[in-house]
Amino acid sequence: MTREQRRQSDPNQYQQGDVWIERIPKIPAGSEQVKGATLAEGEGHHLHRFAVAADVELYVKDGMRFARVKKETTVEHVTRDGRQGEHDPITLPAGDYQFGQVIEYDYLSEMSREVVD
Amino acid sequence: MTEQPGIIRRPDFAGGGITEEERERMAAHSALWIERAFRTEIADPHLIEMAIKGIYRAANRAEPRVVVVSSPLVMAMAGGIASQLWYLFENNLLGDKSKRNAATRAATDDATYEAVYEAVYKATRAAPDDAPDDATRSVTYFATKAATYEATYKATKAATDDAAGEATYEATYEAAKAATYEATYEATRVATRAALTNWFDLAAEFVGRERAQTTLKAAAGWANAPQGGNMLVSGECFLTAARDILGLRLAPHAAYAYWEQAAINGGFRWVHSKFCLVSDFPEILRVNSRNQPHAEFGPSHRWRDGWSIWHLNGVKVDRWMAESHPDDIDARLVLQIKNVDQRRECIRRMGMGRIISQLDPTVLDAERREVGGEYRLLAVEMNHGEPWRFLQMVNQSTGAVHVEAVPRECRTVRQALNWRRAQNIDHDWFPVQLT
Repeated sequence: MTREQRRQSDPNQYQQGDVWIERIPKIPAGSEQVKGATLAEGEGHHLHRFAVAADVELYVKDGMRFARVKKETTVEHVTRDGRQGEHDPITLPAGDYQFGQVIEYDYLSEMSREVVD
Repeated sequence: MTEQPGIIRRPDFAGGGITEEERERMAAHSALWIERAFRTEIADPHLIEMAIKGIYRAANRAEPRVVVVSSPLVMAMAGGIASQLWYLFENNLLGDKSKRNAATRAATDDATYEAVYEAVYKATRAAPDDAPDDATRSVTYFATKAATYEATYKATKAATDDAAGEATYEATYEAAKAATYEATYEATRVATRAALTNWFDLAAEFVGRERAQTTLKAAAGWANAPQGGNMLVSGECFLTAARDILGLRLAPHAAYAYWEQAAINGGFRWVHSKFCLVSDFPEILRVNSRNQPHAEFGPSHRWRDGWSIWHLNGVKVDRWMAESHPDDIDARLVLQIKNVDQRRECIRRMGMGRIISQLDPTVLDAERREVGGEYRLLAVEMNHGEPWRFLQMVNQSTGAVHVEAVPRECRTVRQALNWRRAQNIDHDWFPVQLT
C-alpha cells in the first residue's frame, strides 16, 4: 500500500532530472572559480545549464561543485543547440548552492556511479 | 512596393512584419524543406556535381572531383584517407607512382568497407603530377561556405528588420534536425572515432602503417566542420523564404543558388581542395510523431551500403534494444543498461507489465509525494545471490518511468531517495522543485 508522504518540501533543495542542487549558507573559502554555466553534461545531446551565464559564478573545491547565483535565475535542460530537453526548467533564488549528480548503485562492481543520461 | 500599411517589400529590404498570406506560404515552404531533409531516394550524381562545382567556382576555387558516396560514414572515412593521400602526394612524401597505386583491394564482404575503398580511389586516382595546392581542407571548407551560404545569410539579415523569415528557420529546425543532422552527425562522429582501431588496416593500405593513425584521426576530425547538405536545411529554409516569399533579390543569391542545390540534392559533404565527397540520402529514415528518429523492429536510418543506426524516441540505442521483440527482451539485462535514457526507452518498449511479469519483484515500500509523485522500492531476484533493489520513479516532466538501482541498505523509498542524493540514507531529500 502506498504511503502518502506529507512532510513539507525543503525550500533549499532542488532537482532537475539527475542533477541535485542544494542551497548552502556560503561557498567554502578557498574554492576555485571555474568558467561556464553548465551543471552537468550527459552522454547524449542534453545538458543542464544556467539559462543566463552572467547570473552565476561556478566554483570547485575538493571535487565538490558550487554555484553563486547573483539574482534569481533558471536552470534549463537543453540540447547543445538550445532546444528544450525532457526536464522542465527550475527557478533558483539568489544565493549560494552546492550541486551534483544523483547516483545509482552498480551491483556488478558493488560501487555507486553517477547517473548518466 | 506593397500597398499594405507598415509592410515594406523591396528587392533590397523587407520589413514591417509579415502578412497572413506570407505566413501561410512560409508554413508550406517549411514543409517543403522538411520533406527535402527526409529524402530517401537515390541522389542524382549529375545534379550534385553541378551544384558542388558551382560552389567551388563561386569561391574562386578550381573545380574539384565530385564523388557521391553511399553514406556519411563512407564520406568521413574516405575523406580522411583521401585527404592524407593528397597531402602526401603534394608534399612528395608518397614515393613513386607505382607505390602509390600498390594498395590492393581488401578482401571483404563489408559493403561499407568496400565503398570507402572505392571512394578513396575515385577521389585520388589520376592525381596530377604537378601544381601542388597548399589549400588545406579547412581553407576550402571556409572559402566555399563563406562565398555562398554566409554571404547570403549576412546580406539577408541586413535586409530584414524583424524576425519574419526566421519563423521558417525555427519551424524547420524543430521539425527536421533531430532526425537528420543530430542523429547522423552523432552516429558518424561515434563511428569514425571507433574506426581509429577498426579501420587501421584499410588506411594503412593507402598511406602506410606509420601514417594510418593520423589518417584515421583526420577522418574523425570531419566532425569539427561538417557541411550538412540536406541534413541541415533550417538555414536554407530561412534564406530561401526571405528570397522567395519576402521577395529579396540580393547580390549573393546567384552564388548561393549552388549551395541551395547542394542542400536539396545531397547529404553531408567532405570539402577538400581537390575533391568533394557527398553522401547519398539514406534509404530508410523513420521518425515518431514528433519527428524524432525512432523505429522499432528495424533501424531508424539505413544507408544503401548497409550502414545503419537505431533510435527510440530520439535516443540512440543498440540494435537489440530497437529490434528485439518486447517479449524476447530480458528485463534483467535492461535494468543493467548504464545509460538511463536507453534504459528508460527499453522499459517503455517492454512496458512495466512485461518487466513486472518477468522479474516478479517484491514491493518493499511505496510512497507518494506532493513533489516527485509515486515511488516504489523493488527487490528483484537477478540470479546473482541476494535480490537487487531498485527505485522506481516517474519523470515529473514527461511521465516516463525510470528504474535505478540502489544498495541493499535502503529499506524504504525515503532511504533510497536520500542515498541517491548523498550516498547517505539519513540525509533527507525533499526538493521543493523536481522536474
